[in-house]
Order: sequence, then structure tokens, then C-alpha cells
Amino acid sequence: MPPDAETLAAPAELYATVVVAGQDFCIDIKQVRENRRWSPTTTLPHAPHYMMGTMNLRGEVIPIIDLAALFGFAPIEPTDRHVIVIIEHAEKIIGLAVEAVRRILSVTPDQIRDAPGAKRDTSTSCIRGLITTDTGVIRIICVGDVVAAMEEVL
Amino acid sequence: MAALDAIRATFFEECEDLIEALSEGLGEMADGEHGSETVNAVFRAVHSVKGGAGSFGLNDLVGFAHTFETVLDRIRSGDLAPADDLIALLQRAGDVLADLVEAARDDAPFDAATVATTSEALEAVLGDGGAVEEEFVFDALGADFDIGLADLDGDGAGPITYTIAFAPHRDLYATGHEPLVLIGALADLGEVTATADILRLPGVDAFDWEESYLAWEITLVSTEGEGAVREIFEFVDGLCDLEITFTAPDGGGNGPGLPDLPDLDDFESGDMGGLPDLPDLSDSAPTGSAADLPDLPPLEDLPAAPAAESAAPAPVKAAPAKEKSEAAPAKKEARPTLRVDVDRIDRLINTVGELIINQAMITQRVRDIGVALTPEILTDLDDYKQLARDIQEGVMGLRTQPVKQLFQRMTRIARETADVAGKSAQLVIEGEETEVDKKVIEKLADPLTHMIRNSIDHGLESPEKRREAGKPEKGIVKLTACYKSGDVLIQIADDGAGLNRPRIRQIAVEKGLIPADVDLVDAEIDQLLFRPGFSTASAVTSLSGRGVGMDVVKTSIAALGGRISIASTPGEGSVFSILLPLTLAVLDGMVVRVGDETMVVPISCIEEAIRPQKDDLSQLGTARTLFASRGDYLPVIDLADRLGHPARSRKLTKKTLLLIQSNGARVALAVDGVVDKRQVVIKSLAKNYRHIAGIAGATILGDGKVALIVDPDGISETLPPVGAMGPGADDGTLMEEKRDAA
Repeated sequence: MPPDAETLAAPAELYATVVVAGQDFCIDIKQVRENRRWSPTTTLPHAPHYMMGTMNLRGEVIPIIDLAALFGFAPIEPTDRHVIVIIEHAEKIIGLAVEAVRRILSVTPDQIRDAPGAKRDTSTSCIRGLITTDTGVIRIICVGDVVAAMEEVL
Repeated sequence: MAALDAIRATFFEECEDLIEALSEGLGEMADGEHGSETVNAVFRAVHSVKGGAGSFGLNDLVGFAHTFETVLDRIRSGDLAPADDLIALLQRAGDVLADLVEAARDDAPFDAATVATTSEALEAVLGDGGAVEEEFVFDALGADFDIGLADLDGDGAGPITYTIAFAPHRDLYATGHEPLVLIGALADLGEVTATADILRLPGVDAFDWEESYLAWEITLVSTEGEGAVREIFEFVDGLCDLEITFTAPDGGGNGPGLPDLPDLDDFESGDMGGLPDLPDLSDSAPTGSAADLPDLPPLEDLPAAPAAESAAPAPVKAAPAKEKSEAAPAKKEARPTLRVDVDRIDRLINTVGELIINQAMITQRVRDIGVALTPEILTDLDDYKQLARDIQEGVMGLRTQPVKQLFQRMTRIARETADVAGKSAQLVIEGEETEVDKKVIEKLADPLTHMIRNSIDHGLESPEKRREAGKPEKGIVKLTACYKSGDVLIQIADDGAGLNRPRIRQIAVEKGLIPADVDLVDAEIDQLLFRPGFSTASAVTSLSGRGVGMDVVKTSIAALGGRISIASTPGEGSVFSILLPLTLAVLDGMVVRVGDETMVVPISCIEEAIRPQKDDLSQLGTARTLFASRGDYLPVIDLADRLGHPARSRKLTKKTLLLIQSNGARVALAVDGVVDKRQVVIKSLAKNYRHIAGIAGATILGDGKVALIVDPDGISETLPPVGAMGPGADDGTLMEEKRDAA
């Protein structure tokens, strides 16, 4: 996504930064519904290892994805301090388990850089770009890709 | 435009009820019930359809309904005897009317040939009178009145000046009517001058926005008859004060001196049922001359008639009055109903589901606190639970509907099928008041249609064969519904020849469904009917055997959480039984432990729960364990294994076996323990995740955690073929068991 004249003028978008396996990631805030404290999940049969199971969100049964496991890191060992970011995509509501939610980031499109070769690697296939900040690189998670990964199985 | 669409939609909704009443009435007539109440009910239904259709310019529908109701009116008046063949014709006409309504609703084409044939047949019944009738069959509504009126005026032509005093009540607005539309409709009939009466309009400070203050004085000059004018106000009948007076052309006849016409409320019985006098007029005035009106009383009698009676309808007034009194008791029986969008009820059901879960959670949380609970708190918790359950039950009840309408549709299917298949058949319906979830009813229509067709087409023998077998020529197919321990049982029973098992078996072999030498018991042969691609009809008839078969029926029933089974006795007939849950939203479940997980097994499929003894268990091949139950060997499915959960123990003797019905066979489901029996609210897993083999859905338990619901049919479908498994998880169970046994 090389910046051009048009995108330069585009307004800034907000991203929620999260920590997964010690690295900084962020999610388009428009897709985040809420954050919840981790609570025990129910195991889903025949599910890939990054599916932590399912939990009850006010009557809605939602699947929880361990982002660390999905990206190829060691699966998280959930504690009360872990956070589940509830996202909504294509009418599905899904929980993403992360270590922590940090802050809200305002990003203009010209600040977003390509993630070279990301699509070729399972651990980065859900990354759609990078943002450079003074504290380091933040990876932008493409929620659609995460949901697609969940649906592709079987 | 949107408002008109809404009114149109309401009309078609009402049509559904009317068509239902129609077929119900015709059914009663077919059963020999020719009382005036029944005939009146049928007449009213057709007439109301016609009236509504006229307002929407549905001319095909109006034309047909008009001929139809004319015949009905002749029956009502005793001119025509309701012989069997006439009733059969009326039933066909009822079907055609239903088709026309449907076509009009969907803006779809209809079978013009059938309409024409049926219409001609009806006219043939009318005989000579019918021939004249034809002239205005396709006229706009109200033509009949026009003729009647013109007759009395002694002059058919020339404009009439109507003076209409129209004062809407507040209910007229509340029910979505609009004076402007009515006045506009009048303007379509002729020249309109309207003056609004604003005298009752209060000051701004005293103004009630929902009150009706305006009235209109409307002058209409039109060549249309009074009927056409009244027709416009038909739907606001009782919602306004209405006075229509008219002056005939040339000041002739009884124009100026005419007594005031009664209010519509007086004139009609508060519904369209009052209109039935209309064909009387047209019938009795076929030549358009007053002299031919047979029942016209001498003119000098008129003043003696009550002042409220206008001169014009006087000759036929006696008939509707009589009808009114007859119809009254029937009317009272109809309970007031409310039409509610299903989505709104579904939202309510969902919220109530949450309430139940929340109630269970609060109860559990309070107990978990660990402090000593006072009796008051315990009582309150119990009350809360009871109230929540009551609300749930009440709300669930909103979703249910009697199967009546569905069953009545089947009488038509049966009739048509019998006609095409050359069978003589009667569909007997029982338990039509049984209530089932509306969604279930909707989804039941197709499978039921197919099964009724099958029963008549395949189940019943031809009249000749029945005679040979010493049975009455007319075969009986019984469609019944009843409650059976929390479920609804729907049965289709025919008194035909019963399943031809050797033939079924032969077909299954021919189609490669089973090996030729396999040994099958009767029940297993019956089950072959449900195999995909199976069809017993030697020839593909236009009815059943169109490629979809009982397997589709079975799948649709299963999708509703129901089960289907067959019982058949050679020479005596077959019974297909469908067992359905009352509602799709809740389920009686057995809460069980599976490994470290809590799961729910639908109670409806559980036959018994057993702690197995070592002697009851035996091995088959390398991958299967069998459980001996009353001489049968049931395959054991370890749920934890099957679902990939780490089991607590592999020893089957430490587990509980749930003997369940799965795909028509018995299977023993091994679980690690039974916790509880409770009603659970079914939640979709597929909505946010996807379908999982062997899992029917999820629910939320008292602790707020999700528990998965086992799909009894799906779980055994994943049963591996004997010997197909390598040394895997299932093997482990065996080895351990063997060691245990050794």
C-alpha cells in the first residue's frame, strides 16, 4: 500500500493495540465490540489447536481464538489477566485471546507500510500491514483473515 | 404507496384466514353438514375475498369469486341441492380461488385454463340464470347493486347525485385509514365536491392529537350505483358515521322523498357478512327490469317498513336479517387475535432464554458465596425461578399454532393426488387443534405433502384391488396429531396394502444399496425407504417418485429435531409416525460429564442409562466394543473419545452407558457421569463458528459456561467401519478393557 496523494489526505483511523506473545499488534477499532476478562472456555471437538473453545457472551455462544497459537507462537496459558477482544466480522462474533490491550492508536493511511512476504508465512498471513511508532513496529491484524482461517478448517 | 402495500399485505393475510375458513366449511359440507350456518360461513369467506380483491382491482379473482359465490348463494337459498358432485366442484373451486389469491399475492401467473374450466362448470350449475350472470361477472364490484338500484328507479341511465355525510371516528385513523384516500376513491366514480366541517375543531390548547374532529359533506355526481359508493366505505364500516342519500336523475322516482339510508353499521352486521344479499339482487333481476323482481313488495308496504330500511334494499332485507341472527353465535366463537411479527416474538423468546440462564446463574452464585442463606432468600430465589419459568412457558406459547391450517392444506393434496392416481381416497383429520411451533409447522408442509402423496399413491390400492381384497373402495388415510409426553406425534396411517417388503428389498439390491445376500429383519427393510435415491414406484408418476424421496422427508424431519418411523402390516396398511419437539428453542436434556467437559444429551433419544457390568461388554474386531442389551448387541461409542476430549477413565465399567436411538438403530453412548436433567435453551454454534459433526448446538448452563449438545444421529454417523481404524484412540479403550477383563 504505497501512499499516494489521495491517501495522504485521508483521515486518521483508530486502532486498538494488543500484545500477543510479547509482540505488539493492532486491530481496526471499528471491528472491536468490547474487551472482556478471560473466563474458562468450553472445548470444541475436532477443532484446531488455536481454537481455545467457546464462551458465553450474554447468551451468545462465541468461539475464542488464541492469537498466539494461530500465529505460530506457544499457546497462551490463560490467567485472569488475559483479555478477550470481542470482534465482529461478517455477522460473526468472535473472541480473540490476547495478553493485554494497550492503547488506542490514531493512524493515517500513509503511516501504514507493507508487510513484505507476510502472505507466504502462516505466522504472518493475517497481517495486513505495519505501523512504525517511537516504541517500535506494530503489526495490523486483518480480522477478516483470522475469521477466514477459522472457517477454512475442515 | 407504502401504506397501500401494507393494506394489500393485510388483505392477503386475511385471505389466508378466509381460505382456511372456506376449506373448513367445504370440508364440513362434504361431510354432509349442509346447515345454513356452514353454507353461510363458506359464502362469507368467498364474498370477503371478492370484496377485498375488488378494492385492489384484482379482476380475475373478483370474477371467479363472483361466480363462485353466486352458486353458493343458490345453495343457501335452497335453489340448488348440495349433491356430492356439486360439493366436489365447490372444493375444486375453493382450490382455484386459493390459487388465484396466491397468484395475485405473488403477482404470479395462474393456470388460466383451470380457472376457465372451473368457472364454466360453476356457470353450468347455475343454468339459465348463470348465462345472464355471465354478462357482469367480470364487471367491477357493485355492479349488482347498480342494477338493483336502477331497477327501482325505473331508469338505468343517467347520473345520480349522492350526498354523503362522512364523520370518521378516531378509530378510523388508528386503524390506518385515510379520508383523503376514500374521497379520492369517490372521485374515481364521478365528480366530487367535498366540504370539510371544522366546527368541532377545538382550540390548540384543548387539542388532542389522536382525536378525530373533522367531518365531510361530500357531493358525488356519478352514474355508478349506490353499491359502488358504499363499497368504498366498506372497510371503514363501524369506524365512522356515514350517511348516504341520493337524488335520482330528473328528480324522478323516489329520489328526494327517499328516507335517509341507515348507517352502514345498521345496514351491515359490522362485517362484510352483511353484504351477501348482493347476489340475490342480481339473481332476481337478471333482465334489468323492476317488473321481474319477484319478491318486490307492493310499494304501499314500504312506509310500513321500519324507517331505517331504505327503499332500495328492502326486498332482500329480510334475508340478511335472518342470516345475521344465524351467524351471530358462530361469530362469537372466534376469539380476538393479534397479528405480531414473528421476529418480535423471536427476540422476546431470546431475551427470556437469557432470563432463564441469568436466573440459574444468580441462584448458583448466591449458593457459591458460602454464607448461610436465610429462608427468605431461598424462597425468593425459588419464586424467581418459578416466575422466570412461567414467563418462558407463556412466551413459548406465542410461537405455537394449531396444525389445523397445515392439515387442511393436506385435504387438497389428498384430493388432487387421488384424482391423478385414480384412487378413491378420503383424508380423515384428527387432533387439528394440536399446537406446534410455527416454524415447525412451516417446515412440515413439504414433508407432509410428500407423505400424504405417498400414502395415497403407493399406500392405497386401486379401487379394483381393494374390492378384491374385500375392502371398501374408498381408501382412508388418517392424518392425526396429538401430544405425547412433551412431544408432538403426527401420524399418517393408510388402510392400504402395507409395505411390499420383498419388493423394497429387491429394489435396494438392484440399486446397490444393500448386498444381495444380506439378512434383514422387517424393520431394517422398512428403513431402506429412507435411503437416498430410493423410490418404490415402478413408474415415475407425476405425483410421488419425482426423485426426492423419503430420505428428504427424513432429513427435513431431523432438521426440526424430530424422528420418523414406520409400522406396517401386510394387507392392513402402514403408519408413518413423526415425533416432533413442541418447540425448536428449548430441549429437555440430560446433563452429563464427558472427560472434563459438561455436555447435554437430548432426553428424547435416551431409552435408558445403565452402569455396564464386565460381562455385558464384548469386543468386535480391533476397534469396537459391543454392549449386550436384551439379546441385542449395541455398538458402544465413547463420547470423550469420539469428540477428542481426554477421558477421565478408559474403563467402560466406570462409565455410564446411555442407550439411545440413533438413525433408527440403538447405540450405547458412554459418558463419564450423569449430572442432572434439565430444560436447556438451544443456541446455535454455527452462527459464530460452524457446524461440528456430532454436535447439535450449544446451551448455557447455570454457571454461565457453554455446554455442547450432542446430536444423537450425527454421533453414530461418525462410527468408523469395523476394522477401518488403525491402532488409535478407540483401540486404547479396548486394550484397557481387555487387560481389565484378563
